[in-house]
Amino acid sequence: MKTIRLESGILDENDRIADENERTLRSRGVVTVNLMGSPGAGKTSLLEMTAVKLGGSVRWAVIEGDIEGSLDARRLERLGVPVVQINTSGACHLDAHMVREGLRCLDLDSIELLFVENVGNLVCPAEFRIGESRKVMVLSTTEGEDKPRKYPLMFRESDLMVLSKADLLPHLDLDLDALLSAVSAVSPDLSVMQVSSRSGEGAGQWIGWLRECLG
Amino acid sequence: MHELSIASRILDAIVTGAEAEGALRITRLRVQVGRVSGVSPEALAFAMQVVSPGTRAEGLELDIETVELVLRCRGCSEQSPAESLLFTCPACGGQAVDIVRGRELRLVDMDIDT
Ligand SMILES: Nc1nc2c(ncn2[C@@H]2O[C@H](COP(=O)(O)OP(=O)(O)O)[C@@H](O)[C@H]2O)c(=O)[nH]1
Ligand SMILES: [Mg+2]
Ligand SMILES: [Zn+2]
Repeated sequence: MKTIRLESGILDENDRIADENERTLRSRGVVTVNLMGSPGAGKTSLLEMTAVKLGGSVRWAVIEGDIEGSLDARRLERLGVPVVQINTSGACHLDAHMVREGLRCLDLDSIELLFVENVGNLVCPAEFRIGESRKVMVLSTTEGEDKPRKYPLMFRESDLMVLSKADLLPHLDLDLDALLSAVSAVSPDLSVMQVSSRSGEGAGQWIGWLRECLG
Repeated sequence: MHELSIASRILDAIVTGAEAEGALRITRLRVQVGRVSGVSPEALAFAMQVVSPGTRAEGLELDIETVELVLRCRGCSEQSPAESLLFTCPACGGQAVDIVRGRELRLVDMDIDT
């Protein structure tokens, strides 16, 4: 019997590929947004609204991560957005390796902004870096005020939280103040933006944030 | 599901390491799992049992060390052990913190038979 010292991070290999993706994207001048949140939070709807609001003013593309199928990809293609579909065949998150494969299918020189819609999940995507410049989480008004306490890591890792389906607020008993104070307790630096892809509320602020990222 | 993908990453890493050492079997593995790493030790132990049969790691004894959460207050820099990220600094009452320990997902060492 012999003891071997390993002393390595379990996600080191993922982080190495994420660094590689980040360098590739940065060298082509592409800003990459990792879009995360529960299934049904409104990630694809936010991208659909983004397509309408941005029009042709920004050249962008989307990598769609789904466990199976390409329904979301087709929703975006209909709006003229170039989409690469990645099926994780069971995995509950995208990892850097999958995104690297996705990047090979894109003409990075022809875009300045790339969205990666992660698999719907509030846990795992927070742990796997993919080479993004920004992490955005979408939490919908229907998910309840306890989510920051239950899934603190995603709130901590994100640069921006889009509180989606803001149009539903008058119809829900969501305690907005409790939600916002739970958010700032687990993630003091996280900015929050209320957006409705349905009514267009908050769209200007969202597009402004994106334009600021593009510099 | 998530632990399953972590377990297959672990398996790849240790089997590669064991092959490089010419080992026939990996008998024990020690890992560190932070309290807020997002990985549940129980689920990880189960996932390792799912992925290891038929490999050099079959039947290995998995030793999981949980790394407790330690936070540093941004207000007064005091470090304190904590139960969760929802935290109030005992020294100054501040709530904004940085994580000092508790996010680990690390392989420490393994025993092999050659
Ligand atoms: N009322 C309302 N419904 C929305 C809004 N955004 C998305 N939805 C609905 O929420 C459901 C899930 O949206 P989708 O964008 O597919 O979520 P995803 O799984 O996060 O991509 C769909 O039925 C959408 O029509 C919104 O701003 N307001
Ligand atoms: Mg979607
Ligand atoms: Zn303090």
